[in-house]
Amino acid sequence: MIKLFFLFLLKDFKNYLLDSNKSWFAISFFLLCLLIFPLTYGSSVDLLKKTAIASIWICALFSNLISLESLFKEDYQNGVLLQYRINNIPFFIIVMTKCISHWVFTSLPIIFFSPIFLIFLSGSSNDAMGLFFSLLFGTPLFSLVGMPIAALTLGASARGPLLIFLSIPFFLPIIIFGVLGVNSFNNGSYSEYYLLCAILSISIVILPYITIKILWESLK
Amino acid sequence: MLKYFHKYANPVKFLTIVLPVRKIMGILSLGVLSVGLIFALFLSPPDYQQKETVRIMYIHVPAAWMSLMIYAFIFFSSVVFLVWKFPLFLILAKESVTIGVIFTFTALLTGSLWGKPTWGTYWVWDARLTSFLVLFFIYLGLKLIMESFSYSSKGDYTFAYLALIGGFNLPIIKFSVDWWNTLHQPASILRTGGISINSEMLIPLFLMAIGFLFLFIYILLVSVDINLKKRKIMYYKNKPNN
Repeated sequence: MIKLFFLFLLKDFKNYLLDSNKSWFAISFFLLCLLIFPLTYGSSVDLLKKTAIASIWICALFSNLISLESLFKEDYQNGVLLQYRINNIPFFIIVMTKCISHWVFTSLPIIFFSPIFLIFLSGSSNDAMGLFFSLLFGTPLFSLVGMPIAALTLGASARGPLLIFLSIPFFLPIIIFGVLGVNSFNNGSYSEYYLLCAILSISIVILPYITIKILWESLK
Repeated sequence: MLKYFHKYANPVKFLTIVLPVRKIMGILSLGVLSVGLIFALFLSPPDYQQKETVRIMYIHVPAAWMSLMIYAFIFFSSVVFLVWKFPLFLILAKESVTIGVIFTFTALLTGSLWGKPTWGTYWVWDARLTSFLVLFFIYLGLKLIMESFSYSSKGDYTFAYLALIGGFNLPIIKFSVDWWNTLHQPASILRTGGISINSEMLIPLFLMAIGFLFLFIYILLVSVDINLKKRKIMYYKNKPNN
């Protein structure tokens, strides 16, 4: 079981690494989004400084939304998912490896380079630590919550816009607590981080199960 | 219990029972709503603080209750559909989405119109208002996903699962006024420590709430009837060698 898990994880990582389109798309979209904020504020550095954290979170949200579409799409269209179902491979492994590889290739670069982006947007360096931890707890939730919705829209007409419309309401609480957490980090209050961790631990248990059920229904 | 469900989950049997109920509900909702409106607009006293604008409450609060109740109804019928596979409950859930959108929009609109004279602003981004707006978007998402898989069994399961996931928002809306400091006032009817509202205002409020409930049941039953007849037409159209 554990061997199978690592085998699938390796396969998904290889899939991302070999397809340069897939692995670079999210992070380059993030950078492009980030470029918009300084340009729209004109020359007011003060405004940019205040909104630096919020704009990094918004860009992380958008890059996650954009890359969600390709989560199950290829395997569903090729019929690979159906083959897994026929051969009785446990879907929990497939769902978890997909989620982990999606997080590693879309959110992990953003988390690691977040202090650089913060300086790039002329934010104060005191917030770097808070931003790092809020992204670390918040972005796995993007992948986890997006997973059942990506599975839901498999086979729908006009899938991309539908996926974005359906997932934004579910992403709103995460982005609210993420941004609030950074703002209260310097005051020594970690309540939002605890809340994010609580939501994360609940979703890790429930959402893969719901995703498996939805995938089974879509393969009937 | 399950046996009883099975007996009346048959659409034809359901319709024969429901037809008289529907008529009664239509007449009752008209009567209760007109009496409630007379009480609310003319007979109830103006508030000592908010003056005449308090009369918006008699639309706003029942509409907000109804939109929450309709979502809870959609949630439980989706659960029944997913667990016991009764198609009737799916039709009930699907038909109540449009009514839910209208009630949610009414609550948001009247709330913002009420907010201007009392709070001095049409909209604030506090917890209650934001979570209610999220509910509105979840309703719209349900409506969208219904349209994008028309008449296929896959769309049915998709709808039910989305309704299930969206249920997380209901407790947040209910307790948002207690968990965070909000501009929106806390609950004054359904709360621990009894009702904190004068009976002269309570009577029209409950009349309007009951009227809205009857109206919801009436519209729901009419649209379920229409949906079942549409399905029948589709069935006979697609039947080979008719």
